[in-house]
Amino acid sequence: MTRLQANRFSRRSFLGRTIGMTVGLGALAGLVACSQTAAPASPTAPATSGTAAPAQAPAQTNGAAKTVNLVWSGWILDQNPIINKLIDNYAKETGVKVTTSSAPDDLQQKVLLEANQKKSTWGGWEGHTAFLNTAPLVAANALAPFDSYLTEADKKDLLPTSIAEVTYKGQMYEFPFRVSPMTMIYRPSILEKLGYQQPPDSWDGVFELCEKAKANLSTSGKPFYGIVIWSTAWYGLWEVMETLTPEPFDTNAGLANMDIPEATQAMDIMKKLYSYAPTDTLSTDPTNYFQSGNVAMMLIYVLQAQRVKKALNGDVRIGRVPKTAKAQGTIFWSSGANLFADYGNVEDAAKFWLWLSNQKELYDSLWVQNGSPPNRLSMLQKFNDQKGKDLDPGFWDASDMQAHSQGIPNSLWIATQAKYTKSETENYLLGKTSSVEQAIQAIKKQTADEIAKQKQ
Amino acid sequence: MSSQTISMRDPSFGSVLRHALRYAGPLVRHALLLFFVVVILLPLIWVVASSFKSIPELYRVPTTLFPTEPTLTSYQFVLTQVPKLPQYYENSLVVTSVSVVLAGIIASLAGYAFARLNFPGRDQIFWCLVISIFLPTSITSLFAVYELTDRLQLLDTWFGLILPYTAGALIVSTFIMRSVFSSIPGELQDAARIDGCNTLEVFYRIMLPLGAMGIVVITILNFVNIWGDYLLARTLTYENARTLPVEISLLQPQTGDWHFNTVTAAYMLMFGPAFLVLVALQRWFLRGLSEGALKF
Amino acid sequence: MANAIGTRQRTLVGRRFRIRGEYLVGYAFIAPLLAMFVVYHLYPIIRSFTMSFTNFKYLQPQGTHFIGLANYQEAAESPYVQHGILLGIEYMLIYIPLAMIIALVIALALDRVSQHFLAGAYRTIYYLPVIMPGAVVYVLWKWMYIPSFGLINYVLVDTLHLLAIRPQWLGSPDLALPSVAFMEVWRLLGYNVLLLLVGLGSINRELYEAARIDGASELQLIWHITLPLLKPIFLVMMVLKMSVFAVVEPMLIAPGVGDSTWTWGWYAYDQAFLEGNLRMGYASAIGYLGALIMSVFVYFQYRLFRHERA
Repeated sequence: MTRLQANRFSRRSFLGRTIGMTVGLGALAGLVACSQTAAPASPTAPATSGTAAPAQAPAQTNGAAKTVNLVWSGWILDQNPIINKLIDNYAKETGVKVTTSSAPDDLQQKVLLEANQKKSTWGGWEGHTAFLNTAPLVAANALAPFDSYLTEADKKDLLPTSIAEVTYKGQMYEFPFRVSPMTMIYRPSILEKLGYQQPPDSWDGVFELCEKAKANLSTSGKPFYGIVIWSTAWYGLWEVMETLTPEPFDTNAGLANMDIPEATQAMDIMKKLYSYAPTDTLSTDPTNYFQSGNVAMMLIYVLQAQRVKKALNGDVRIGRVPKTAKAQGTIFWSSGANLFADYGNVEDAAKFWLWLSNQKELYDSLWVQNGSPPNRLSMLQKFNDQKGKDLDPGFWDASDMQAHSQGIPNSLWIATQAKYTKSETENYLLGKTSSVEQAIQAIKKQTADEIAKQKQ
Repeated sequence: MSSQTISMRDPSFGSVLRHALRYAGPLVRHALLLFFVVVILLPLIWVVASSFKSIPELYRVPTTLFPTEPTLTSYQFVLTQVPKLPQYYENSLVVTSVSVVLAGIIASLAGYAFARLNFPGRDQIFWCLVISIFLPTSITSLFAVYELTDRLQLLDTWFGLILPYTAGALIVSTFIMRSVFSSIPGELQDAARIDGCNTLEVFYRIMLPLGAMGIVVITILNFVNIWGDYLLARTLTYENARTLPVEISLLQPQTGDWHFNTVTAAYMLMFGPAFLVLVALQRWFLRGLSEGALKF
Repeated sequence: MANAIGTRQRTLVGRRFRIRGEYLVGYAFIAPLLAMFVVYHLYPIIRSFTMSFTNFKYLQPQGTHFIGLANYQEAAESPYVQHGILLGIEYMLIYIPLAMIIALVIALALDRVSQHFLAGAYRTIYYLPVIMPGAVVYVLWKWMYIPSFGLINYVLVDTLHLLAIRPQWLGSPDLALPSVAFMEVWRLLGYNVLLLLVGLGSINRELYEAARIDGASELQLIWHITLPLLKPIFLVMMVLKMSVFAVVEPMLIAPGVGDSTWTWGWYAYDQAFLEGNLRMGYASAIGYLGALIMSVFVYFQYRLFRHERA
């Protein structure tokens, strides 16, 4: 034990060592944690490099080159490498360098948090969808409007329905790039077997097709479904309402109008459609069924057509939703760019967005191929030469449908109403609610209650 | 007491029966165990097999367990189309390792103190800590931790995750280390003290080496728990510090090419290596557990 | 409380200083732990408790003021919270017995496997899902539960023909919650088995020998020796598993149709992080209401446990 005796510490050195160790460990841990190569430690620093592989921006240099940090909904970046090329072009033209970041899934929340602290990591976001994002962001003073950056030519280049869609409290908070309308996606081979060239243009016709499908194509082991539907408000109830009346939304209240007779009719139609759909269409991803090959049609937005094409070897088309004498519309939403108010040079961001919206290559590679038309009418015309050729006829239908539709209002409460619309639609379809009136009443009451609570 | 009236009366039949029963016992036993092995392994096999399926085959009804035309397209997709994959890996690794190391150090120090040192309030503090495990406040505390992390500007940073993870792991780890240290004979400590060691020396010269098994146990325990944590990671991060489990749960089929084959391929790439390492370490861990780290 | 060391030290010179020095060392050793505990365990409890008496909304903190028991009242009257609590109870009643019984059966069988290597192999295999991150397991099962091409129906309907119709699992309002519960049972199987094995291992083998000599059959051994001696551990495990009443994670990742998996724990999380202005005040009230109910359960379990012990 003499070795131990020889190695004794004095009390002073013990304290010194302990403190030294703690400080050392703390410093090490701090060093490790703060030396994040990819992330800013606090959201205040605007000159952050993008985290996606494509673009790496230099730190912001004063005077020499201006930098604008923009965030993009992830899948747009991933599938559209053309953006990097365009960014380089823009840098050559104007000397402004744009950096790209990929948006996290709860970008909305992050933006709201930053707005609370009066700062913003990014100048704008591509992938902003007006009815989902605008109202809460404006309420938190997170957004800057586009109006002052738009020329008369820009405004004329958009359909009135597009402009109405992105306007909130008299100002435009999004510049729409492309439209996603709800459509009737179908299997041409299956419809042909049943004797149709395209989806029926009335709901009764749709029911008839479903009946035929069930009767002719179901086998004992493998049921066949005429259609799959979603219970989400804007894929389901509101969509059907749009096909029944030109104005299903009450823009003053900022909600879908549940008092009109079309609301009840729409719910009835949903119930009837559900009877032709697999029962778990409400919970699992309905495209699974579609991709398995035993469904004739699906009532969903255009981009899903591209997604399901692989599994079906291309046997997928975009078609029109049913219409009536009164209404020929469909639910649509435009995804586009916005501006974050707390960012330094919002003007540069706005200029870039507007420039980008005029670049044909952007639309070529991703959106147009998948049936999502541009909002800019001048851009839409540039694809005229492809009419009847490569582009799916549904592409032109989509644009036409949108022109006859009422956009979903931007409001603080639309998301709340959507939530209860979904759950009450499901309850009704599953038979938990016995009557349509009850279902509609439930939607109204729960929406009103929750709005009251949120306002407290 | 015995209800086996057959055995005594009829030797020949009874002995045959007893012979049969002697084998029937193990037979039933192993059949049962094998059944559950299948129950456990089948989903895992399905995951691996699905990652090699092509999209049309994936959706075919009736489905198959193994792909008839295996393909590597999903792996290709994940490796080329997910530029942030290495970053998620990095996040998970850093956050988990630092938390585990920190928790190990703090728990050992504290465990030793509770086991062998003397100071007023020692036992009261310890039982306070133990009781906190049983408080059903995990959800509500999450809200306050979120607010705290935001105030400290640590949202979406590594440290923002490391600190809560360490704190969460500490209580049980301390408990285990305390019991480990308690089981080391006190005479060793006394002997060292007599020879003039002060407390810190006793700690790291004698206690730590002897308590190494406990440290291994809590290290693996914490690693598994923190590596696989979802709630905290999802709530406290957005994009920069997102960890692997959260990312994989968010690979929704709604957009892009995320079908089940790519999701499983992503899973294999994200967790495969760690999984194998953990399986290899399981022997150690289980041994340590049964050797009495869990002394209640 | 062994004071041997302390008394020895006290007899040396500089008695008072020695004592204080030793106490200081003790506190120094537990200081980091205490710091973490206070910041991340104690403070959050207090903060969320006070939060529950205000109308705090995270994204709109400006108008926060004290509103007394209004949140609790609203929570108690809310049909979502009430339904959520019922779902929590249902989940508990499905998960705990299922998990414990299956684990018990396996542990009993595994305990008697004599080949060391084989037993180790079984144990490792059962433990595999436990080391997988929970989130991944849930994603997996979400896909497995897909009625058309998921594994569950593939095995039960297509291969083994045990069922004639294809159950909708997560898509069926009645089957959704049990499906989620079974998912958890599968995941934690190895862990439960392990704990029971440790408990079984602590039973003295000689008791078995003695009983076997007396002519007891295997089943009688289990019934009269193993189970009674296992009871303490079993009951402790059951009490610990009470925390599943507050389950959140599985239904975040693998939800059922409609509100079939909206447990109160999930609903509190939803109100605090996913909905609108993030009403954390209200969510905290839901959380504490649920915690109160859970404490009642635990208390009754504990009473039962005490009774059994006696």
